[in-house]
Amino acid sequence: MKKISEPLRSEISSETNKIYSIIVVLNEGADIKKLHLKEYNLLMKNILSTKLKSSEIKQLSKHDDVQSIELNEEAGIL
Amino acid sequence: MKEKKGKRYLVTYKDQAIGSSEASSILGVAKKDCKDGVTFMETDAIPGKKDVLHFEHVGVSSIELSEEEKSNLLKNKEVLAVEEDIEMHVLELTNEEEQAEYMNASLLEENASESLAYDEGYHSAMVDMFSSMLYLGTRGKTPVNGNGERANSPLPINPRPIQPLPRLPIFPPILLPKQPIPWNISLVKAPEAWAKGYQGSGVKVAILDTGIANHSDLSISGGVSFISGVTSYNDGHSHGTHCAGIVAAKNNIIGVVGVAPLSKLYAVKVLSDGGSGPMSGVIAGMDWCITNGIQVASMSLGSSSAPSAAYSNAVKRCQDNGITVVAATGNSGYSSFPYVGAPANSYQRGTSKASPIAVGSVNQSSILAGSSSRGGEHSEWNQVTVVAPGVNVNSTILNNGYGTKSGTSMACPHVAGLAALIYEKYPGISPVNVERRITSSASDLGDSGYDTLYGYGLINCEKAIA
Repeated sequence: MKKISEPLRSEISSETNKIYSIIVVLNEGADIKKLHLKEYNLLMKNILSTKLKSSEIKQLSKHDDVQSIELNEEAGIL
Repeated sequence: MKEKKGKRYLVTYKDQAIGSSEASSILGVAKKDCKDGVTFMETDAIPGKKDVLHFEHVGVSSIELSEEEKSNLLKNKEVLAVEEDIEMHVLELTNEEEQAEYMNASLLEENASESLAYDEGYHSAMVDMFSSMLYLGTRGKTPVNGNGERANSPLPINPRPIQPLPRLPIFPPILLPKQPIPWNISLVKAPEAWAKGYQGSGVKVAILDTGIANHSDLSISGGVSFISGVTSYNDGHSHGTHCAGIVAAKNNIIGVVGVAPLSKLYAVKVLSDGGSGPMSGVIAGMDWCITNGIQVASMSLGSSSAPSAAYSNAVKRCQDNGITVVAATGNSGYSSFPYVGAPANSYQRGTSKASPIAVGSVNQSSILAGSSSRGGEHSEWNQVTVVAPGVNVNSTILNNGYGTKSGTSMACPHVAGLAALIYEKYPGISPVNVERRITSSASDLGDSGYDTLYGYGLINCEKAIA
């Protein structure tokens, strides 16, 4: 769970069936196939975005090659 | 023509390009007596009786002739005119002063500083032309003869009543339009950097924003859209177009000018025309910058959030690929989260990398904008690095227009422009050293030295590329 950043960590604890849009940072050289993700977008060499349920996010965070998981938040003009 | 008596004449030939050899033949004088008029005049000498001066570029010779010799020359088909060289005395200093007064009076009427250089140049050119033609190179000097002896009178001719020159026509002054320099561009001393020869030429700057609209004051080198369902990087909001103008509006005669007007603009549309977009699109945009050899990424976007591992990772990857990442600190100065937002607050433990240059905003008096996000929350977060103008900044907007906007979004592209100037001067410089130059050259504001409000202070383009 330490790999899951706030506020996502709090949300998945309370909303167990909700699907979240997340961003996952992987270790250098990680094999993405081993993550068994159905769909994802590779944003950068070791950063991808995907949509997962709370339980799936918790499961993913246990993978050794996963550095961090966070909400795919909205950015806006400043 | 053994004996020459009488007056000095100007013989004008039909062939303007006639050489001294042919001229001496027509005049019936020895070649050695036919001297180059311009060279002779430069010695401040006055011609002796035997001296024949030939002005090769105007097809004129000056020679003393008797009446008979004059008449014979006029019959020569190669000769256009033989005129008494009386104008020498007429064009004395007095007339020159009168011309100057006349010119000055005209200038006063014009009351246009731009016309000064033109009219003075015109006046000078006219005087020089007449002087050359009539060898009045002795203005204000005591003339000497061909042997270097001082002459008793200014010129060896009979004094005549001074006739004023006909007034020369005054051509309308050419008033070249100038590029208006916005206050924000002056405040960061960009024009001083341009004067040193650096305008960001060829440096690739990406604007990660709402896109960039076509504008006559902007030149867009390329771009991409990461907005779902939108293929064009065109800006339907105006925020990105405004930021682009601050970086690289052209240095022409219209509108505004950017900090680095010769840099190459790339539109990376990661925010929709509504002004927002998912973080995944922003990171994808940063990856596009790596793939496309971008040198400076300007990110006037973000949210009031704690640092993101994904952003930190993306920033570090950009920096590892030679890209200087510049991000706005945010406009949450008045809110419950007054701190630097994401992605400007990005950091990674154990490295000084992975943090962008975080830019706060000041007004025209270099005072921090109330809304500008402050540092101070968690010392490990990336704090305010520097500040730049961000209040009522005029720049390019949609429909080929201009308008003012405020926010750290406006401050950020000033620093991106400065980074472009630095890349131009120091090709191959690392992002770390770009930041070092920017921070070390900034004008300290707020508390002495670094502080969490102004960072290292207001950027100074002139010093940064010194």
